Amino acid sequence: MWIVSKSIRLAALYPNHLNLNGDLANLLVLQKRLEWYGLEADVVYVEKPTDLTKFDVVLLGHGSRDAWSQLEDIDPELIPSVASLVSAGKKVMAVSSGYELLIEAIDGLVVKHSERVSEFRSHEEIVGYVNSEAELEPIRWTNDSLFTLFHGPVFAKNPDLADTFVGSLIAGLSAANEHFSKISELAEVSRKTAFED
Amino acid sequence: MSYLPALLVGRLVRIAVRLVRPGGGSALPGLVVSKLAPKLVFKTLNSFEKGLVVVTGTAGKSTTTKMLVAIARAHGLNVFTNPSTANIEQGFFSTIVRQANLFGKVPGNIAILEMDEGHAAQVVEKVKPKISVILNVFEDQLDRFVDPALVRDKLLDVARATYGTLILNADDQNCLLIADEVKSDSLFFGLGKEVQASVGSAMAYAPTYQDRLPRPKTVCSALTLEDRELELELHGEKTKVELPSRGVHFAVDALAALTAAKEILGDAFDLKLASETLNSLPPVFSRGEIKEVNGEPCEFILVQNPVSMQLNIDNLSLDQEQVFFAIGRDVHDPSWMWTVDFKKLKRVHTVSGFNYADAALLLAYNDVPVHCVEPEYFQAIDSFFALERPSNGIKTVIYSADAMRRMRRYLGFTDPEDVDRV
Repeated sequence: MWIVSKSIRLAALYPNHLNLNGDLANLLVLQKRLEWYGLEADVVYVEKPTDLTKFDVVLLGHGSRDAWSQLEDIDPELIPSVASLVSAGKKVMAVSSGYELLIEAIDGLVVKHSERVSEFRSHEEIVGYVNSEAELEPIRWTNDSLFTLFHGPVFAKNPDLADTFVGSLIAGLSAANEHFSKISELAEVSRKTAFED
Repeated sequence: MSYLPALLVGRLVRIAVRLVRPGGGSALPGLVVSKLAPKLVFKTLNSFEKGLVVVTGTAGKSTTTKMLVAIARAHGLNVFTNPSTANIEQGFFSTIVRQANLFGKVPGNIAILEMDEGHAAQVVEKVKPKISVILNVFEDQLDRFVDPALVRDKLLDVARATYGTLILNADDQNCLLIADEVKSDSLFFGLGKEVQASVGSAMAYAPTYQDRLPRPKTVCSALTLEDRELELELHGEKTKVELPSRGVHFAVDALAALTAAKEILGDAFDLKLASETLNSLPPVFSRGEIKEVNGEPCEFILVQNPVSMQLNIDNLSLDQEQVFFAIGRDVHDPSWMWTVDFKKLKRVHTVSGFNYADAALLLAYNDVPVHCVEPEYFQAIDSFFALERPSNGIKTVIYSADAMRRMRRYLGFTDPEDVDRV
C-alpha cells in the first residue's frame, strides 16, 4: 500500500498586493496551529491562479486602493473564481476590502458605505480591528467560508475562531501540545487589552 | 484684533501645566489658545517676510527639518520652527504661545515647519507655503490613514497649495505621481544609481501598483554612501558630509534639506558652510543609540512602523543573547507588526509593555524563542538590567515610542523624547 504524505496547503492570494494590514499572518497562525495538532501545512503564495480547488484554504486579504486597481487589470477573473470556491463549500477567508468585493460578487449587491470605523470591535466574543466604511457584519459565515472586517492577525487574537475555521481538518485531533494553553492565555489578554485605554 | 488676552491665558495654562507635570504637556496651552483666538496661528504663519516652508511626508520630517533649520540659521536667517512633537495644528498654537510676544508676533523672517502628513492639507488651505518638501509615502499608521493612496491625496493638496517651489523625492513613485498631477516646477532629490543599488529595498515606499513613471532629473543626488559618510552632488557641485547617524534614510533627509536650503537661500547658499553645519549636528536620538545602564553598554532601538522595524531587525547581529522587546500603548493597532519578517531575530529574553500579549503572540507564531513574558513593565526593566552581562553581544532593547518614553524616564535619562529645535 502506498502512503502518500499530503501536507495541507494554505494559499495566500497576491500576498504583495493583499497584505496591507498583515492579514497574511492568519495563514502563519493556521500553519503553526496545524503543526501543533501534528499536521503538516505549507503557506503557498499564489498569483494568477489557474486552479484554486487544489488548496485546502484560500485567503483573500485586504489591499490598498492602488493594489485593487492593478489587480482588476491583471486578473479580472480573481473575484469570480474565489466566489465559486465559496459556493463549492471550500474554506475561503476574506478580509475587509476582500470581503466586500467577494460579497458583492456572491450576493449581487453593492455594499453601502457610511462613516469610517477605526477601532477594535467585538462580535460574539471575537475581537478584532475594524478600519473600514463598509456597512457589513464584522463576521459572516457562508458555507465553510469566513468573511471578516477584522483585519490583521485575527486568528492570533481569537484562536478558537482559527480552530473553528479549519474544523474539519483537525477533527478528532488532540490539543494537548504545550503551545495551546500558553497561546490561549496570551490571546485572552490581547483581546482584553484591545479595549483598555 | 488683539491676541493679548488669549496669549496671556495660554501662558498661564502653560505655567500651570509645567507645575503639575514637569517636562510635559505641550498640547493644552495650544488647545486653549486655539479656542480663544482660532485665527492666530494662520495670521502668524502668514506674517513671515520670506514665507512658509513646509516639510511633510511619512518619514524623515523631523530630521530633515532639523537639518534645514540648522543650515538656514548658519546662513544668518532668523528661523521660526516647531519642535518635532508639535507638528499638528494644535502644536503650532503651542509653539506660538511659547514664542510670541503679547501681540502675537513671533521672531523670525522665515518659518520652516515640520507638518504631520495628515494635518498639512488642512493647514495649507489657510496658509499657502512658498516651498514644500514632500519626502515620501510609506505604509504607516494605517489605523489613522486607512490607505497610503489617501496620504498621497493629502500630500497632493499640499503640493497644489504651494505657490513657489515643490521639492520631491525622485525615488518614490508616490512623489512622482504628485508631481505629475501638479505639473508645476518641481525640484527632485534622490539616491544616485550606485547608492540605490547598494541599499536594495531598504527604502520600501508604499507601492503604487501602477506603471513606473520615469525617474526625473535630480538637482541633488547621493554619489556614494559608506557608513555615515555621504558624498553628494547639488546643482553640479560636489561635497562630503558626515550624517548624524548611520542609515540610508538619513542620507535621503540630508539631500532633501540641502535642496530646500539652496532654494531658500539662492545665491547666498554656501555648500561648504551647509556641509559643515550637517557635520556638526548631534546624533539623532534613540535609533541605534548605545548608552550605559549600570555601567554596562546597552543598545536602544526605536521601532515605529513596519519599515523601521524590518530594517532594525535585519541589522541585528545574529547571536544577540539578551534582547528586550517592548511594545507600548502608542501601537494602537498592532496588526502592522505581523507584516515584518522575524527570521533574523534568533531569540528574545524579555517581552513586556502595554501590548506585551500581542508581542508575545507575534514572536510565538514566528518561532522566536522567548525566555520570559513580564506584564509589569518596570519589573521587566529591573530584571532585564539585573541580568549578568551577555557573553555574546550587548544588551539590546527594541521598543516602540511609548515604551521608550517610559523606560527612559524610569532609567533617569534626561530628555525622554523631544528632538528640540527651538
